[in-house]
Amino acid sequence: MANRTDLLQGTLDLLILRTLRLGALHGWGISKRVRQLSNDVLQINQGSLYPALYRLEERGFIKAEWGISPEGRKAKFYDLTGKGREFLVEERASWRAFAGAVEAVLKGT
Amino acid sequence: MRLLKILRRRAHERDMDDEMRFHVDMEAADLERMGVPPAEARRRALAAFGGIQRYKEEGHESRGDSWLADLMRDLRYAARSLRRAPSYTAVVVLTLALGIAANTSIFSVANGILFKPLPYREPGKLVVVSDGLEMIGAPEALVTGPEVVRLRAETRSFEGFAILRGGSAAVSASDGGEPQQVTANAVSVNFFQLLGVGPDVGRGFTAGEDAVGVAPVAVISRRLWMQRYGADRSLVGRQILVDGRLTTLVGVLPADFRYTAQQYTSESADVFVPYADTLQRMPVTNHSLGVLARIRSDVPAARAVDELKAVARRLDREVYRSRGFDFKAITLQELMVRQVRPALVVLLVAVGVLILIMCANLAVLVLVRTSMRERELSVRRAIGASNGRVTRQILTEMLMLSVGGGVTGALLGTWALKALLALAPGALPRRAEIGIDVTVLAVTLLVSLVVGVVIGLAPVVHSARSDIANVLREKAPSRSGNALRRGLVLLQLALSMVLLAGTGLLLGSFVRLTRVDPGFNPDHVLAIELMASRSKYGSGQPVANLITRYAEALRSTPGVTAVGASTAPPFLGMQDQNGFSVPRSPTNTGDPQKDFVLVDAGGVSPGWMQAAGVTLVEGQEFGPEHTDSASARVVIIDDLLARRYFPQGGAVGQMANVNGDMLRVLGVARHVRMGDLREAGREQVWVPHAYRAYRYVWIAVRVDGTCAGAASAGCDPLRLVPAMRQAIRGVDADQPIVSVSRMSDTVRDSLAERRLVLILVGGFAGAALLLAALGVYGVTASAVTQRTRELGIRMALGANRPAVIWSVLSAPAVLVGAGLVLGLAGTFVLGRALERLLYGVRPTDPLTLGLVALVLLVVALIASWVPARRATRVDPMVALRAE
Repeated sequence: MANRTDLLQGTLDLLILRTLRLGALHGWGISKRVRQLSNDVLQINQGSLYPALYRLEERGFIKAEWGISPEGRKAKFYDLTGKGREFLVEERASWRAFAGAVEAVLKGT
Repeated sequence: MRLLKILRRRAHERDMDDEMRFHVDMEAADLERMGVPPAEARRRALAAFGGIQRYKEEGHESRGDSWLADLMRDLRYAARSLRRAPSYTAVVVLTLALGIAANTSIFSVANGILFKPLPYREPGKLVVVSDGLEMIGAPEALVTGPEVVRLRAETRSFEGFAILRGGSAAVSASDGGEPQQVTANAVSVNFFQLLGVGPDVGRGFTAGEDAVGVAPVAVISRRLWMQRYGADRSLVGRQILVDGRLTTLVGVLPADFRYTAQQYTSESADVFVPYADTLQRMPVTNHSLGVLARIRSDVPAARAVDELKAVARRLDREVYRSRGFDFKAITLQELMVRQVRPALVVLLVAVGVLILIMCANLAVLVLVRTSMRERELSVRRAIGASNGRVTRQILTEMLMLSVGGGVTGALLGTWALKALLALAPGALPRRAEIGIDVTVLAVTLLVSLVVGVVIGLAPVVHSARSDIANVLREKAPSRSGNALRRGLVLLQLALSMVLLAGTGLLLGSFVRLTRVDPGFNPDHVLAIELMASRSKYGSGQPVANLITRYAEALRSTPGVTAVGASTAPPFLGMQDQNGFSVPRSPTNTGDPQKDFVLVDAGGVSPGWMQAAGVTLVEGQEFGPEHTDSASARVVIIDDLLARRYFPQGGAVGQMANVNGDMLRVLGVARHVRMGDLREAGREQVWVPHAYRAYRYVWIAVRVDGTCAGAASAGCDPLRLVPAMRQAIRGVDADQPIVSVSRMSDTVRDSLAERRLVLILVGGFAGAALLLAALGVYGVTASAVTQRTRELGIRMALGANRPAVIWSVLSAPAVLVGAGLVLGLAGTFVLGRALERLLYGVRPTDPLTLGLVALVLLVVALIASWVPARRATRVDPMVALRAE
């Protein structure tokens, strides 16, 4: 389970894993994809992105590999591992439960 | 694993560089596509990304390999920044090193003497038993034979009681050869077994070897075996000559065996022979046995002592007519160390105080350095260094200094210990057991690390609180460190005062002691220590005759003015303790308790008083007519006894009772201090050597002090030693000479321990004074610097110089005043430790304390006046432009 006391960090991990579900991406691609998917609402601070990537790699949720970008440049691509996939499912369920609970509280008042 | 990661780190770092460059490039390209000019796009991409370096750092930290790598980087950084401040580094390392060296050497000595267990089996269970004869002024007398028999029979808490008698013997190989005079102890056969340490070559004594009339056996020390007999193993089981008797050598003691009846474990006696067991037949008044007992390991000490006391009560009733006899039992270790303990405690306290001062000094140094680095630290924080990183950095620097100081200090300490032992008096107990103690060294190094960390943390905490923006704008120079710094200097002043006061008191005592008149004149006197052979001269008259012949031979040596022998010269021999009374004294009360006194007694040959320079107040000294035992029934009493028994004079010619014999008083001599300049000691009597012809004597030879005819060899009385040896050999070619010493050296050596303590405490105090002066100087100087602007304005507005100087001086003056008061209070507390080393001054002696306070005051004023004077030279224009 992710560390729930640090909501922000947990959320960032969730967002990264979610964007990677569709396939391998490099760091810049991840930040761009999150921005697009959230209609420019969520901007990942690059300073948080790379540490988060290294952390996730360290924990075995994603794996990194050097490849060639569509622009023909050498870039590092990140991809979900099996463990990461399971974690994402789990995390998404608990995030939904959490978001639902917050929503319910907000409606209730 | 970590190391592997470090090795992979460079590759990883390159990876990260590539990845982030790619990110920035992509971002810039994106912006360009949106119409931003390339240069601007790149700038914005970089700005959006933030400090690349910082993310790399965080990337490292998230990989978990940062700890060791950071440490190495911190070390490199610390080394660089220390190299840039060489004087700071040198001062800190040296201060630490000196502190550690002083600490290690003093604690090693104290540990080796006071705390290390003795090298015997269960040493805590070994006690020395003595007779408490308080009623005749002998609280720790030797024990009698019948008492030992009773102790053995009537106690059950002890494994046994061993007997020791000190002495000396001439040894040589069985075929004769040059005899050598060595220390010899007679011990009961259970002695080695009781100690739990015995010969490692051959064997110890067995039961029955102490019977009267059996073939003599001996155990010898490793040293004698090696030096005299060439470590010949085949010698064990064969015979050597001990005092002219063929004696079977049964065992050799290990090299680290130390025990003598005389000095206890400083070193081993050279020869041990069985004590011929005639205990039961010894007179009940003959107190001559040292007794070493071992409490059974399953018996608590208190119960064993109770049992001793019970035997003592019975003896008191049956033998001592209920006059209050008691046994004294103290542990062997306590017996050995109690003489030197007061001095060691003083040194431990002094070195502790010095260490505190040094710590305070270091703290000030570090504080000053940090306040100078405040800007640097703030900048580093501003560009994103975490508190943890900055702390680690500073701690690394402190640790480097601590380790440097620790290693230097350890080296210096080993050297200091050697110097200390070289300076220490010869009779230092357990000398051979003292070495740099690994535990002490380890503890000291650890302490230096802890001190480093604590001192290092203070400024970190301080800078974490300081407002980055303010520091960067250089507004409001931080003054929060000032109070702490003044507190530290106050501590230094107070502690210096304590050390200075201790030095003053010790110095005062020492000077008074050197001025004490010992009652004789030791200048230009040599003492030749020798023992007449028992096998050749037996005892009694022949011994007295031999000594007379030696004296005559010496007297005819050119340059010699007077000669006389004594069985117990001052500061060398051991006097007998005899009962003394004067049956027809006008001061007698009729109560034998009051009219009887215990006195020191020594046998001296004719001419001794003149040779040793003892003044005769009345009557005359012994002459040739007193050299045979029949005519020698005379006594010389000291002026104290004369005053006690003959307050109106007329002592000469009266009869005195000395140990039961009636002797005629021949003269009255000045009282001589026998072993301790501090106190007069017991009253004393001198009897002719022929009356008490001990074989062990010191022949005092007074040498012409004018040095006439000694042109080439100088005026040292030792120049005559070869001639004197020849004179003695002329009488008996086989006579071994134990030692020749200058009497003046012997008297001076009795103060050696005090001199050493004085030198050390004085040295510590000097260092403390210097550090305190530097502290005061530093505080005043930085106050002047901080107030440059204010002082400049005041000078410009026409303030007069004295007023300005005073405004600067008032703060340090208050500091010094407070330091003096605190220091005085500390002196009153710590002065108790000193009390037993003082002579003629009290620990609260107002004159000494006043003088010491004055010295500290003057030094402190000079230290603060120098920077204060600078305040008046401030150029107003410079001052105003300063900020």
